[in-house]
Amino acid sequence: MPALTSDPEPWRTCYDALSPKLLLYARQWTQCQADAEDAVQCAFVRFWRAQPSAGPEHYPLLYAAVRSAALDLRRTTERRSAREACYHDDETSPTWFEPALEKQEDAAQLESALRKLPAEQREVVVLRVWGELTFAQIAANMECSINTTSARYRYGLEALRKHLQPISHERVRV
Amino acid sequence: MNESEFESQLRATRPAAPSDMLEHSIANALRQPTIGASRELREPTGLLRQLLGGLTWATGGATAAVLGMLWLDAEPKQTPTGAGPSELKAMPAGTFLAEAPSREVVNTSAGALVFPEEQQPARLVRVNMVERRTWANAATGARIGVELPREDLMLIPVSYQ
Repeated sequence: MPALTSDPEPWRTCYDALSPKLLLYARQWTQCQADAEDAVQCAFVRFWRAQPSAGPEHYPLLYAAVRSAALDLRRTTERRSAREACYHDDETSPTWFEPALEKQEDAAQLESALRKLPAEQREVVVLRVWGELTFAQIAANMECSINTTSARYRYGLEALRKHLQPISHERVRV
Repeated sequence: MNESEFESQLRATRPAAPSDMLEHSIANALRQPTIGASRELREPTGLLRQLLGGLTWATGGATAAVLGMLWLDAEPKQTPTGAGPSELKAMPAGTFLAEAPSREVVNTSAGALVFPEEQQPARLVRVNMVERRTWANAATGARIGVELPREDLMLIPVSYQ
């Protein structure tokens, strides 16, 4: 792998731009941060070994690789006990979003609202809003039609809005 | 609030950054030329091994079927397909004639994406079939059948537009 060792820049650039998004995406199937990072690492290494000269146009494939790695990880029975051990920690301390000081509460509420969505809707919302993929790319990633993808997105956004609305109203009253 | 405003608000909440350890782990893994599944994807023999790995379950069934066919070959003597009526009459009562085999697709499932080196990424598609072979006894109407489970793994190229 001479290209990788002599010029590590391409994967690092990709890592800087995508790692938080990939991590958030991996969280859809993993119960704790450590497992999500394992899935991202596995997918990232596999992808960059196979395509050391990949450009931004190939980045959507990384989401598919993360999905595959996260699902594989979830199926791995060896890690079951470790997952169960860290599950409760994650439920009590939200970690999906950056806990910015002034928006700490918002991040926790958003994570809670996202967790309430059906899995397919949540996946589309995450890929579209934070992954910034097109509907065609999401459809290819999830192996469904573009119409299904956009419908799931609409329903997902609507459900998110409903979950988050009461919180906004309470804040206005205060 | 329209949808785009709402989307902007959502996007303003940024996903949490991974731990510093992740970047170090990836860097270390990419520096090492031979580890784990990535190596299998880079080497054609590894990929072949990976593809064949899924076929192990069918090996037992296929072996049994082959043994069954060998037994049929040895016990009731087979004649070529397409024997004429006069030949049929001349055949002994225990003769079985092979009929045309048939295949039925019972399941297809799309698997993971694979990244063969210097090739387009592809999706692994698994096709499960049942192959049926039958032999008929023209004199008695008796039929003997063997069903072989068969699994084909295909790589379908994928691309993002």
